[in-house]
Parts: sequence; C-alpha cells; structure tokens
Amino acid sequence: MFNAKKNLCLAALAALTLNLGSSAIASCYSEISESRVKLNDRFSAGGLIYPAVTIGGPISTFAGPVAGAAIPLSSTGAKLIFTKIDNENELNKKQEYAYAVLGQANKNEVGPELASFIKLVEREVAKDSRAIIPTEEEVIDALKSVDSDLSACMSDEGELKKPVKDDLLNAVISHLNF
Amino acid sequence: MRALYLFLICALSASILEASEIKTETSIVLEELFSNSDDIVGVDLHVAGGYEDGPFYSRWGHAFMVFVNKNEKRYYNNVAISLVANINEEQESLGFLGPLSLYYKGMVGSYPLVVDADYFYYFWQRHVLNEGRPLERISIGLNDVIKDKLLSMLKEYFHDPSKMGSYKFVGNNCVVALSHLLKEAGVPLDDVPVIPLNAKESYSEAGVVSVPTEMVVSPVLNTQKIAQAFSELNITTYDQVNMKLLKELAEKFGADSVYAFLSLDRGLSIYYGDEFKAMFEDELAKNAMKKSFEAHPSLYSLCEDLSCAKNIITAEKKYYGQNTYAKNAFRRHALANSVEGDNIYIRHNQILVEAGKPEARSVELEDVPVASSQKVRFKIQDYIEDESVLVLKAFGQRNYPRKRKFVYLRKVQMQKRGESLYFQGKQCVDLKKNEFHGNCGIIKEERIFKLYAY
Repeated sequence: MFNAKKNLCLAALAALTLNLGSSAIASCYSEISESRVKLNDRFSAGGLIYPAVTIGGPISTFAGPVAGAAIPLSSTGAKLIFTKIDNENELNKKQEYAYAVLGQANKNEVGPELASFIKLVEREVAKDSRAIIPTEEEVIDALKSVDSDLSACMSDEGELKKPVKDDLLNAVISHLNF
Repeated sequence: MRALYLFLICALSASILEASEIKTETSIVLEELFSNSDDIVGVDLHVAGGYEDGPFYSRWGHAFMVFVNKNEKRYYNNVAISLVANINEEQESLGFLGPLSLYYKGMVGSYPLVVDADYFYYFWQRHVLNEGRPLERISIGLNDVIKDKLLSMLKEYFHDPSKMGSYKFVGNNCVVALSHLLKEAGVPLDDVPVIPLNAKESYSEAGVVSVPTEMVVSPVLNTQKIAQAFSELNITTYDQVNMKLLKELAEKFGADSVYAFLSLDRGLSIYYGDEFKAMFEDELAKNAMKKSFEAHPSLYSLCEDLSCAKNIITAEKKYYGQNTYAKNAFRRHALANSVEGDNIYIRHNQILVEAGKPEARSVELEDVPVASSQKVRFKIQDYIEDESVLVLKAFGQRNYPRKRKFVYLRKVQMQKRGESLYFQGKQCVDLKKNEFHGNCGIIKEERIFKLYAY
C-alpha cells in the first residue's frame, strides 16, 4: 500500500518535473537556436569567429546590443575559437542536417534538407507494403509535432539532446503510426 | 569488404565519409530509377567546380548526372549517378606510399570504375554544402530511344562494371565515363570532354545544350577568404569595418559570402548586417533563388514539330519569365547558326528558333562581308543621341584576292531609355557597360549579318 502510494507520488513528481521542463523549452528547434545564440554571445567579444558551415538555419540569429563601441576582434584567435565551437557547442554535420529539417518544417519551406527528409520518411513507410505513404504536408505536420512535444530531441533517459537524422526519422515514424 | 569510392579527379574521400549519414545504398536507388523509367524525361549533367582545399586533381572538378523524373516534386529527390574509382580502403592504407600510391594507381588504371547512385540531395550536400563548391547544371533532353538505351546500359554497367573499363585519371575519369555512356546511348557528342570543367564547352559545341547552363554557388563559399582578408588588413575593432570595405569584399568574394560572414559574428551582424542587406538586396535575393534547383519536365522534350516548340517557349516564359526566355531564345538562335551538322538536338534547336522568330525584331546590316574565310567582329562604336542612332563597327580582314583589313560602320535606329537602348521596343544595348544585353546581338544568317532582339 505504501509502496503503491510512494510510486504514485514519484510518478506524479516525475510528470510535474517533465512538465516544468517542457514548459521552459518551446521546441527542439528553439532550444538548438538558443544554444547557438548563447554560443555566439560568448565568443563575439573574444574575436573573429571562424566560419562554420550553416545549413538551412536562420542566417542571423543574433539579438541585443553590443556593449561598447569598439570591441576588439582578435584575428589571431580564429583557429582557437573554431576548435572550441567545433568541440563544445557547434552542431556537427549530422546535427546540422536535422536542425535544418526542423527549421524548414517550422517555416513551411521545403528546402533541400526537408525535401530529402520527406523522401526518407516515404521510403521508410513504404517498407511495409500495406502502409499508406504520407503526404508532404503530413510529414511536415508530424515534424512540427515531434518538435514541439520534444520527442525529437529527448533521449530515453529524459535528457535533451541535439537530434540527428535517425532521431527525427524514428520520432516522425512513431508519430505517423500513432 | 569495406569499399571506399574515391573520386580521384573528381572528389575527396573525406567528404564522402562526412556525408555518409544520408547515404542510400546504390542498389536501392537504382532499383527505384529503373522501375520509374517511364517517368524519366531527361538528364542534368552537373559539374562541381574545382575544390581549392583538396589536392591538385580536384581542381578540375567533378561530374555526376541527375535523372529528371517528371513526377518528382522535389529536384533534390531525383536519382543521381556518378561513375567513380572503387578503392579498397583497408588494402590501400597498408601501402607505405599512402596517397601517392593512390595517385599512381589512378594514373595507370588500377582501380575499377563503378556506379555510385544516390538522390541528388546527397551530392548537393557533399559538394555545395560540405565542400563549398559551385555546381553547374547542363540540361539534356532525352527521347525514348536514347533514354531506354541509356538506362539499359546503366543497368549493364551496374551489374558488370568491368564493361566501363578501369578508372584512369586522364582518359577515363568521371566525366569521360559519363560522356561515353551518353554518347553510346545516342547523345551525339563529337568529342567527350577530358576534364569535368570542360563539359559545358563540349556539350555546347555538339549542339546538345539548348538552354544556358545554370550555376549554383555555395552560400559559404568564400567566408574563409574573407576572414583571411580581415586578418591581412589587420582589422581588430568593429569601427575599422565600414560599408566601403564590405562593398569591396562583396565585389571580390560575392555578396552572399560577405553576408554569411557578417552573420558569423554578433557585433558585425548588428552593426553592418541590415545596411549590407539593404545595399545588396537584389543580388542576395537573386542568389537565394539560384541556390535551389528545380526541373520543369516540359523543358526536356526533344521537339520534332512547331507545336512542341511552342509549348517549350510557353513553359520557359512561365517558369523563368520573359527576360530569361528572351536571352535563351537569342542564344539558341546564335547557336543554331553556328553549329554544323545534323542530329536530333540540332534539329530540336532549329525548330525552337523557328517557333520563336516571329516575336523577334531584326534588321539587316547590309554589305558587311560574310564569306567564311573572313572573320568579322562587331563593336558598339557610339550612340548619337540627336539622331537616336547606334553606330556599329564591323571590322576584320579580307584574305582574297590579297590580305587587307576592312572597317564598316553601320547605323541602327535605337531609342534611349535610362541606361539602355531599345531596338523596335526590345531592350538591346547596355550603355553603361557598352555591350549588348543577352537577348540582343548580331547573328550571321543566310549570308548576311543581322541584328536580332528577342
């Protein structure tokens, strides 16, 4: 009896915690976008940021005033910053692809990444000969759903992670099946 | 066996590994292509430009081919193939010469050629996004006979790659092998291009290309070079940057790249991003459109009658707009009168010219010699505003009965509007650049020079 009550309490607490978490994070896409802004905030005063390839995301994600009129740009620090970005915060190629897919779905713009992802979903669904192939709009709607309910970026342990192609694919297929 | 497709003249193995997350198995993609063969209307030969960060051989570009499916809504999901050297990565890594042995073996033909297929997106990601290379598309229409032969040969080559011969750095590289495949299928190429970057010339000379090629440039192509320029100019504070400098950089490296570069730094973006965007609004918008490929199936028809040609003209105007159509039409006309021989592509082009001529305006440039032994060049000499007359200078050298240079001046009525001259209502001359717009110029036709404006 006690155990049952305790389990119920723990479940409720867990649900509450999860809900609190969810309410703080609007979507997988916004979470990644935010982290990229923070990243650039942190390093913009330090120097020139080494160019990294950005796919499909917003060209300029920066906001807010810059403190001081002349912030030094240390050109010699370029490589060091690039290494930091690459290792710690910047998206890798796999994450960039998924980030671009989510971004394009959010904007209802079928760019190269989203087009290829829709094809992936269609092919995956078609493996079951009885399945009905989803339309482009259905895939986009599914992407928006798994983005906003965080199932695209939540690990089995309940931790947020930057999704890659397979995370999105699995989440979308599950959503479509459901 | 872990096999690595190494694109010796064509691409780099490292980038293949980076893009491998979205790689689809060749057999699956080809199966889809063959089962949808009825829906294929043409092919696009894509040439990725030189890869400056790669070894010397990648500077000659890489070629691959996209099969345009009339039912595929998204260009990026069309099937693409590349003919590449197949190298066993594990075996090669044991060699003490390392990459040098790859070069040597690539020269002497030690690697078999194989078919590598995927959706276009995979190639797009690898070349444009990962490597920052420009991509140029050469569209080639196919009739059923050529298409069926092409697909059956591709099937044969996939099952028995030895029929393609071995990869050779010079002589049987990616573009040579692809061009042989097209030639054997019936695309009338006189000479196959030797290196990828020459593909456009070879296909144009054979009259195979009837619309201008289309170029897509990576948005991050030159950001590294701009970073380097900042470093060389010793720019250490934001206030050292100004619009004049950014304008110069845009002229040198492209507005797209400068804008992408500004967005990499918060301060640069805030201080200069909006102003730069406003200044280069047209160019940025134009390039943004160019970044996306589309294919319009009706434009891949090979016409044998005027009604087919009229349909193509209507489609071109609809998809590309009147200005692009007019440039295409002029270019086709000039090409039809310069390419010799007779084949299905040349006939197609001539029919398109016939169908488009009624809309064109023209005037004969009388008495300018047209004999084939005399090379005549034209120059825009002057515009006499009081008379509304453009003066054209025709000059060259007569070889018979004795060598003698000649110069003729011919006047053509044109009206000035802004920075342009209009011929019978059609835009013709850019006064600022002192050159013809793409839709207007001189064409030699029926033993006489004529000025045509579309």
